[in-house]
Amino acid sequence: MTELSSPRRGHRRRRAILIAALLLAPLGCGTTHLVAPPGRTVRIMGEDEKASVRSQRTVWYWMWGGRQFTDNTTQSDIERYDLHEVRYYTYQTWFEMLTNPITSIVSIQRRQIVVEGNP
Amino acid sequence: MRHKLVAAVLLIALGTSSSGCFYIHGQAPPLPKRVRLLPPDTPVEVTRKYQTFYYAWGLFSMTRSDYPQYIIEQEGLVEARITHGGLWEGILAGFIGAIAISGFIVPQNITIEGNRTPTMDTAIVQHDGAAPVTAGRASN
Repeated sequence: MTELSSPRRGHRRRRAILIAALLLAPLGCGTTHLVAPPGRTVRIMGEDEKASVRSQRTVWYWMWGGRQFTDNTTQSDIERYDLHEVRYYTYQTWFEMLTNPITSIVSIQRRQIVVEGNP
Repeated sequence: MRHKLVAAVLLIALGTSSSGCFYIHGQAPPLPKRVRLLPPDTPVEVTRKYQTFYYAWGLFSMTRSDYPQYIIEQEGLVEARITHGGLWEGILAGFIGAIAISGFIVPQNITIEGNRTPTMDTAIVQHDGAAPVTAGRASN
């Protein structure tokens, strides 16, 4: 078996890294949960109802969304603002659209969670 | 020169892969429907999972992005919780991103879980004069 010359080996390594990066970049499965804290009575609000509280925050994930660094549920928001009715939405910003494929190479993802409600 | 071109194409592919600016709404059907939000670990009788798709990097929805309220209404749920995202979504996004479409289509998983009869002990306080959701635990 012939040994590859050093430049050729380096070229192959770079190509393997590039292919791995391209395969990893589109991955991502971060979850968000609209759930109540245990023991609290909370109602889900409709679209047209007025909300006096709006909380928006970034949820960070690793392992391509399999694990979260920060709270990915609405429980902490409901407790912080003492909400008795709530609705939520989740989305990715344009900034995240651009950065997620890059940070996804090292398994990091982020999403926005917005919680609206009334105490 | 050729390498720079390939690198530029790959960079664009990376920059446009996978993600999008989609919105997933978790909300109840219009009033007077009253739906109580469930804690994460309570047992449920109904579980509905579905996939919604966006195109043009999340700008446009192929289906209705506010599906949870329709599922809640169709299933007649009085208690519900909503999960957005999941493993299948990640695998599908990775697969779509790895082939030619390159992030043009963004899949999103939504799971609605709930109950058609109240199982929680406390009634929901009504703000509009509508009849309260029945208090008490459903008989087993």
